[in-house]
Amino acid sequence: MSIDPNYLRANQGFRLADGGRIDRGDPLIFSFAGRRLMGYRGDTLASALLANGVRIVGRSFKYARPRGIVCAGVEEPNAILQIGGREETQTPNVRATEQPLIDGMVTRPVNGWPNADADLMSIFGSLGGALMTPGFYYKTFMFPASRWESYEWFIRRAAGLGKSSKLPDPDRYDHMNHHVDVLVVGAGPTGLAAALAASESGKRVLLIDERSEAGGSLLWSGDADKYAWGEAIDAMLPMQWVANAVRRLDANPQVARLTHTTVTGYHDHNFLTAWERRDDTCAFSGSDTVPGTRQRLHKIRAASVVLATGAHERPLVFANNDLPGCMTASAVSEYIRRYAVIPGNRLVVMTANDGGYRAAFDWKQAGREVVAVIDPRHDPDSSAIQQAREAGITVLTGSALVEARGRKGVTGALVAPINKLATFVTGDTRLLACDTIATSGGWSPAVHLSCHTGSRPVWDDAAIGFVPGPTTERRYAGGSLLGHHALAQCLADGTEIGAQACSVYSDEQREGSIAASVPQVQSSNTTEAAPMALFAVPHPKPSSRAPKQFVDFQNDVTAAGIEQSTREGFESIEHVKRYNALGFGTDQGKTGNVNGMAIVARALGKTLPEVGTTVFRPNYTPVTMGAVGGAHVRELFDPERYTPMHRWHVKAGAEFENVGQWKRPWYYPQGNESMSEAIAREQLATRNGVGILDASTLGKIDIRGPDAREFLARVYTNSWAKLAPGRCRYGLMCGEDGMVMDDGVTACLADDHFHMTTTTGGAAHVLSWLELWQQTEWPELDIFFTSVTDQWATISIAGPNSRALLDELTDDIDLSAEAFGFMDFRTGHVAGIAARVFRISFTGDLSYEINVPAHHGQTVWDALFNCGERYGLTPYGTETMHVLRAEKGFIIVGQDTDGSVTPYDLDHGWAVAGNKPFSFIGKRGMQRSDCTREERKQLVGLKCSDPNTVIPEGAQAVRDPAQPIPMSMVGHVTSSYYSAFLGRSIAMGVIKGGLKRKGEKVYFPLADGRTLEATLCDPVFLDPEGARGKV
Amino acid sequence: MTTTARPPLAHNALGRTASAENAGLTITDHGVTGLLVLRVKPERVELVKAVETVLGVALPGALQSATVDLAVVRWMSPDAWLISLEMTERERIEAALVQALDGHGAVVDVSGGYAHIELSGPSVLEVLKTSTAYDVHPDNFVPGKVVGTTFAKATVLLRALGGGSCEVLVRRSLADYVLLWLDKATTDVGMRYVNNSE
Repeated sequence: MSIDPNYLRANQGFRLADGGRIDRGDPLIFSFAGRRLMGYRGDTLASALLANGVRIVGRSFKYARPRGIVCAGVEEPNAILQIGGREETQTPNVRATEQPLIDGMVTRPVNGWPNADADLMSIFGSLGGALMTPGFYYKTFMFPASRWESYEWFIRRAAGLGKSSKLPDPDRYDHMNHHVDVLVVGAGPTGLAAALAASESGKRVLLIDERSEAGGSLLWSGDADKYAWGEAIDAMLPMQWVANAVRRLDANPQVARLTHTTVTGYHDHNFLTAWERRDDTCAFSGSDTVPGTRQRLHKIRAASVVLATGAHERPLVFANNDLPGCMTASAVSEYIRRYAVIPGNRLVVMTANDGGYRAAFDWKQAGREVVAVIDPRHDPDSSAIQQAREAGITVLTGSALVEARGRKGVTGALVAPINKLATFVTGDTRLLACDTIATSGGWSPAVHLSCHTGSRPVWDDAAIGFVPGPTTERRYAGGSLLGHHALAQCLADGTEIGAQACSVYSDEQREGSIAASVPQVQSSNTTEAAPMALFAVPHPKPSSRAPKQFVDFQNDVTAAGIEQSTREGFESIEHVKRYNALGFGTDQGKTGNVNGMAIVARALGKTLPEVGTTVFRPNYTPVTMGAVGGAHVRELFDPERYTPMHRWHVKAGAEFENVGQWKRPWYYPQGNESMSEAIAREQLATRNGVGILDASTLGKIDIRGPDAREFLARVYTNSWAKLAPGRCRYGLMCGEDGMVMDDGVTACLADDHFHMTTTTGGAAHVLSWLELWQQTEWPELDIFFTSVTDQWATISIAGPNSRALLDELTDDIDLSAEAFGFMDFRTGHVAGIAARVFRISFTGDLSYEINVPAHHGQTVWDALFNCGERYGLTPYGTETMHVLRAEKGFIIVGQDTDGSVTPYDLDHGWAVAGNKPFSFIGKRGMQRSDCTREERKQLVGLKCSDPNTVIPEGAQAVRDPAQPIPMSMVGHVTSSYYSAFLGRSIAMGVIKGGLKRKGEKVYFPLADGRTLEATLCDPVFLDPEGARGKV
Repeated sequence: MTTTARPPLAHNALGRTASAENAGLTITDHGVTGLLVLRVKPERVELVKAVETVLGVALPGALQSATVDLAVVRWMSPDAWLISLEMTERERIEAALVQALDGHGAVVDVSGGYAHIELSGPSVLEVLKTSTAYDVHPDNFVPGKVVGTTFAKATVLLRALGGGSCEVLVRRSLADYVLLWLDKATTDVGMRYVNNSE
């Protein structure tokens, strides 16, 4: 877009000619609500908006009032914007005060309809606002429930905060782990001093700060000659000292430093999470450049944590205090000094402490008019006040700014004298014309992180704020976080706790070994007047009659609302919070919470410590879902496990099924075959010729030791005493409750050596189950388990031709029925590869399971196909395997069982040996009266009366299809297929009392209105004598 | 044995294309390595001694490995070690260990069950830090140290080698996942794949 850059530059009417930590040589063009604007590298989005005179950045949540930028940091409640250059990168609720300006950035307010400047909702807000009392949503939308949908449309339209894209996020994110001796949170003066002290020790130090550069409050410090209240550290300008400190830290290989990174969670055992904004350029500007990692979530395990998180300035609560142009005093200073942006022309300051005077000095220094400083303290005396008066600034003490005037922004301030306790107005008001109001009610230490592990903050009268409470973690705090706001004290605190944080590590010689000396501060601010604990400013009218006095800007919580909720009986701060939604916004009430508590305290006649504070939980600021997910997305969301023959299956066009993390071939469609056609073909080819299945995913456990046989007898329900070497046996494994947990075939390789197989999904659980029992209950058994699931490629060939096929590839295994019978195991060579061959069958047909080391799996698989053509060798997948096994009534644990099924329920009593000398796991459980009662659900076969209809799996059975709803359900279908070989549908299900009801009918009323009829039968549909497998 | 063994990663399409110049990470694929799991109770001193005679080295203690000409022995748990050796030596040593254990303990061939790769290059530390929660700082993860840990969402055995390199042993079925993970993790720094399995 061709817009004259000079025009855009000139549009920055609120940019100062010089100063600030911005690069005027690097202009950045961005858009806000469709307008093209310019800022400079070094700007935040907020400072650039202010430079361009943008006062309204959004509309309030409930009343749709115009709102402007209030703060300059993380605590900002209003300036939360929708940012994103493209639909798929839309990010809602980004704090403009923290977001560095990016060339090409596309931003707009998160709400305002049709736009924030001319918001139609404000009409509703001003009319309906009077009706929107505390607990409005609770009270109004409870009844009638049927109306909720119509309410919802309106509420969403009116109150939404931003929108998320429904498209996949195109950006990359990742996680990074850190193990450090000392983590320092905050790179202001306290944090820098702590990091310097800690780094002397040679320990691993990590210093994290959420801003774009280190310095904290020093970023808007100034040259002592140029600015009133300038300070020097070790005879250096503060930012020179910072640069020097950063250089020293960066030169130390044991120190790492992160900027643009917010520590958002402090978890138990000094585990902290931090969210780093690495490069939002592509996401926010819409450029198509291939991005690096956009954001990163750091997971930090620290021996010691130093919290130097500083404090947030509290705005004062007065009437219309939400008008654009009302800001915190420190924000005004920061915009002027750090960004060379002055938010207006005529300033009124209202401050209950000396710190707020700085805004007046900076404003005057910038050449604009300071109308007055309003100080509620009666006759305070300090250097700040003297300097202000010397500079010709009007200071009104014993007074208060009771109300802001204006419609879309501040045009005046109503000032009145107040009593000493600042509880009521004592005289007439007067109106001061102004366009900006800076207020300071004091500083609230940023205690959030210190509270995440359950430590409650404690009220400190001297600090006029909550400070961190006791903790069980190795955690140190200092500086403004403790209410120590003087720079010299911050540096002293930092140096001390930085050294302490290391000393927990070395037991000896710690004393005096930290060489760091405390940086010395030179300051012109010599005497300080005590700050006043003022939160809500009195108004000539009671707060219920006065214009709205906002406490929580993001949720439109007012002083009157809080007072009303206390009158309604909400006295616990936790209840007041929820009833009003105080602190519920994305800013979590960083500016409003303490003011809200103070208003509760005033209303209830309690002290602040009596009211207490609410609980702080992670996260400190919102974290994008992208960063939470990291690189574990898309194809890396869950590991995919492949068998050694996976590529072959892919080439053969297999469709895959997820079984646990494994990708198993599901079926192999040929040409335009449908799934059912493919399965019919695979099934018939196997039953009539020979089929091949990749069974490598079966869990395999190598069991060795003299007590292996005894152990098997204890974990399986059946007997293992007489299983000879070279033989295999099917076993059922139960939990202590007697319910079937896993099944599989175990082969005896030698008297002290067994090869156990488990279900694909149960492998890991079974191995840990075995280890659990061996290690905790029977350590005396001399036995070892080793997982060999990945070691063996398992190839199953099944069908009448399988013997002839295998015979082509082996010359050292006698495959004759006499020499190698059903359930026998042999070692030998297949296709020249040493193999373990099991003659076991999951199809009922003659079948061999060939196990070879995984790296030879493809070789043997290929060899079978090389001579398989004349036998019609056909690959089949898990779906055909299911049909083949269901024809024989073979169960699948997890499909035909669900954790409430005993071996007897499966009619597998033959696999339970009640007379073993030692008990087995589940024996007592399956003898409970509930397990032996009549009418348990039992596994039976089900034949649908229409042989061409497959009953849906999961269908519920009833005995009387005419019974009115609710019908008595007597069981459900667990497995159901169409068998091409039998030419009819077959099913298995668990039906109450099914075993004695074979021949009876049950009915399946379906969701689509049909009712199917089926007859209970034996689950073995094919070859009940077992002749096919024993040829 | 005449047929060709297929190493876990040999079929991976990625392996053929990932050959960035000046790559931050080089993956050397050692292909099929002889691997034996040794299980023996450390309190069975006579068995341990017999095993050590076969290997020519004392079984290393917790988180340690021992390297001799014949083999590298990695501690896995108080009664388990993973021994890597040339495939040509595998059968002979397996038999000797079985004999030394005298029916107590176990020796299990898992040569087919693992991918054996080595990570080297300037970005190894950063890649490890994005992949595992274990403390891989060189102060802690000193050469020879062995740790069983998570790598992305896979379970691996990591061994620190000299010069900032690192050995990764991962179950064969998860090897493709780990390779894909490394490919994504090195999008910015580049990855080179070296097939050392011949």
